[in-house]
Amino acid sequence: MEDAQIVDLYWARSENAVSETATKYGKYCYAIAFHILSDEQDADESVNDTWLDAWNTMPPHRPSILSTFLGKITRRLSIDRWRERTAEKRGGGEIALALDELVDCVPSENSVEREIEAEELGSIINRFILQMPSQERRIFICRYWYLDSIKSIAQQFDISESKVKMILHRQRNKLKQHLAKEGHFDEQ
Amino acid sequence: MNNETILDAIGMIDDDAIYDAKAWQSESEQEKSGRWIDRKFGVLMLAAVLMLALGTIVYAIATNAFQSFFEQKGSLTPEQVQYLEEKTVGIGQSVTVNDYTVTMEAALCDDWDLYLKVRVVAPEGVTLDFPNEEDGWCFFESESYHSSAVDPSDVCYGMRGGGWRPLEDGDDKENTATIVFCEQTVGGDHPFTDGEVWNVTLRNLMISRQDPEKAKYIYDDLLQAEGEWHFAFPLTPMNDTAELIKEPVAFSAKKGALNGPVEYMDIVITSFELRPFGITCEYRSESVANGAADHFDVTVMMKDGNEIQAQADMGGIGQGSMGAQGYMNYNFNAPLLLDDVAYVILQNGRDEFRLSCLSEYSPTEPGTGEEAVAP
Repeated sequence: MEDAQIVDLYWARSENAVSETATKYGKYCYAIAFHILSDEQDADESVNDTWLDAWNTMPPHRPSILSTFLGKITRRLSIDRWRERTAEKRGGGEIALALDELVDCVPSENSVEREIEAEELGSIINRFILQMPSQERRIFICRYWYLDSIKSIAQQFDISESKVKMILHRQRNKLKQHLAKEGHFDEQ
Repeated sequence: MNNETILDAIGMIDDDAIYDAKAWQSESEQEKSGRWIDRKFGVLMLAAVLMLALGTIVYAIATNAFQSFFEQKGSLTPEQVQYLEEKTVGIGQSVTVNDYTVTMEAALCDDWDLYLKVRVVAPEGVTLDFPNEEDGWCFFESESYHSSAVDPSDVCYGMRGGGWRPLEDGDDKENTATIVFCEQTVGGDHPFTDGEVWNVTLRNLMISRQDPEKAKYIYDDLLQAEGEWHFAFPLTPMNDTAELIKEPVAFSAKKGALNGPVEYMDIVITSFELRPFGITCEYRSESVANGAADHFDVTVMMKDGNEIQAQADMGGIGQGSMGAQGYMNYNFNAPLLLDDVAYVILQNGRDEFRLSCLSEYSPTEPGTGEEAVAP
């Protein structure tokens, strides 16, 4: 079923909306949730919560890209769920690795930092990402938005894992420089 | 601000960009899968070839240094094999640091693309060579290189789009490994120039391998041997280039998703340089939206009727006072013999454009490849 038709089902408050969504985007959302949570049951629950959230937001929302709309909900809910776990139970998974990597972009303790609203930071990062060459942008998004593993990214882009790591390493450094340039902390 | 704040902020990025990242993957998944099979098959065949080649003279090993590397990506024609043999520079310099001997075996380049073949020998008992790439591989943490013809304090290349790939060496020894460094350095300031001596420094030998205590596909990079291995050698770049743009050409580059909402950005191509290992397309645009300069597909049509698809690689765009200027890079899975190229087709999903190797061009009817009738 076409995305526009699925969205129409939500707007018509048809119960088929959820089943059609699950059929078409269940695997997609599950993959996002599982990369973050590394737990089948938690991932299933996040995906089910995604359908509920979608039901509650359409209408009034009419997403232009349904997959991304659902993926964003899944990602947010899964990260929230991941945070709800105690520190001991957070476990590994790609999110832990991605967070370790993103430390590269964070100012050191001695730097001059000012509080920044999440939305403003999102806007800055958005500008940074949109300036990237296409392949670098896709790799960055696969790693830090979809939380895909290095291995998976290497296979998808048909490049070596070492190249993926090097590209990401450079991107993190550039992001740190970009944040410094935007005046959010002193580059060390 | 902490790393979780950044992760949250990344969650807010542009919908089109998120969609594009996966749409591109889904579209190419089947093709990639086929290529993986081809590559595995190629590796097996090459391993057999290398085993048979053991014991032959060193010269033969040097001149065929990169054949097996390229054949991982597909078969080569006899002409391409001969071309590689003619252009490969056998080096054979060895440097030992902290009991690790690194040999710069061979180099190959055109004006802007560089390949280095390196052999590493570790002390007995150390594992550098893993049965499969999935199990692990070794690489150098960083590289730098500069020409002795320029002031190294002014120009010292870092990597751009470079990476290490393991290569089957067929010696069945765990403490040895052969790796190939590939660099697409377009956008730098100084091309690889014939006759100049290049100083190359490899720093810190690393091992990337899966930790059995961690989840599948999670790799750790471990410092295997600290040190710097310095080499100096001349390069013989393949200076064959073909500039296909005689006068600026107006075209459209696709931006955004490949198989979803597609937008087009008007560009003026000012240069389209074809080289044995890559293409650099320079352009300018007055209508950069979202700062995203994306791409179009490039197909090289050979005189024998074969088609070679160029792989989009690193590109970039920079804003200038006269509008946006940028470039797109492409590379090939095998050397391109420029004399055998008939013409090049640019496709953006809506329009096609044909670039002749005689620095002439003619528009083609969308989807047909036939020459368009002038309005």
